[in-house]
Amino acid sequence: MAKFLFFGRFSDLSGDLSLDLPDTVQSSDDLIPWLDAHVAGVVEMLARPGSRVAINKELIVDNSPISNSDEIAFMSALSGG
Amino acid sequence: MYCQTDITRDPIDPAALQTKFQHHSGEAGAIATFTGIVRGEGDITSLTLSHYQGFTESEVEKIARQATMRWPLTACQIVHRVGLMHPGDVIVFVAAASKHRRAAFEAVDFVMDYLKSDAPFWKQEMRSGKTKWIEPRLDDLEDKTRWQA
Repeated sequence: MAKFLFFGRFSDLSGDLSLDLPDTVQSSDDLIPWLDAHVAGVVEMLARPGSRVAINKELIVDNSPISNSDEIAFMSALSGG
Repeated sequence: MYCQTDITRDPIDPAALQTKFQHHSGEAGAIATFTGIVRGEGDITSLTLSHYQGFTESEVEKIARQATMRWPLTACQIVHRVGLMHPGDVIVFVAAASKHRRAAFEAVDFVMDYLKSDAPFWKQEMRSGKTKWIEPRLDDLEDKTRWQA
């Protein structure tokens, strides 16, 4: 099962989840609309400035392959200091 | 070279950290430090910082390493608090040591600009019983561009 983590504003949408990815989800571009059906608001939140996604603790910038054992983190704009 | 980064839920004591840091500063002729404090603006009662365990630590380490590659530092330290804090609490301590002052000043400034908008922390303030997410201000994002020339 893939593990989904939600940080910042994304944590208002959902707590952490473990979900089996269907065969139709092979990449991050496949994943987002599929996940939005489970966690409403993900697509809208990703459009906000500063939102980012990490797969296995590596930020992704382009479409990236996804497997059913991955840890996928959704993060709203970062704010430390 | 001494390069220490910590993410902690415990209170931060800047004076104690600076004393310890100086012992690790080698031949430094200058130590610059920055202490960030939770502001008690208006009716803020608390600030909660969350982080992504494992990822936040490695990203903060990257920021410290970038500073040590960019300036001739003899030591560098970042301590960042997470969890529940109140106005007056220390949220971050940054220190840089170098032979001369300019490198130490600039390294601390650089680290803070990157912590503000590039480190995986999320701030939620509590005002009058209501929570609100705090995101980087435009100034914070522009500050970082100073180092990208």
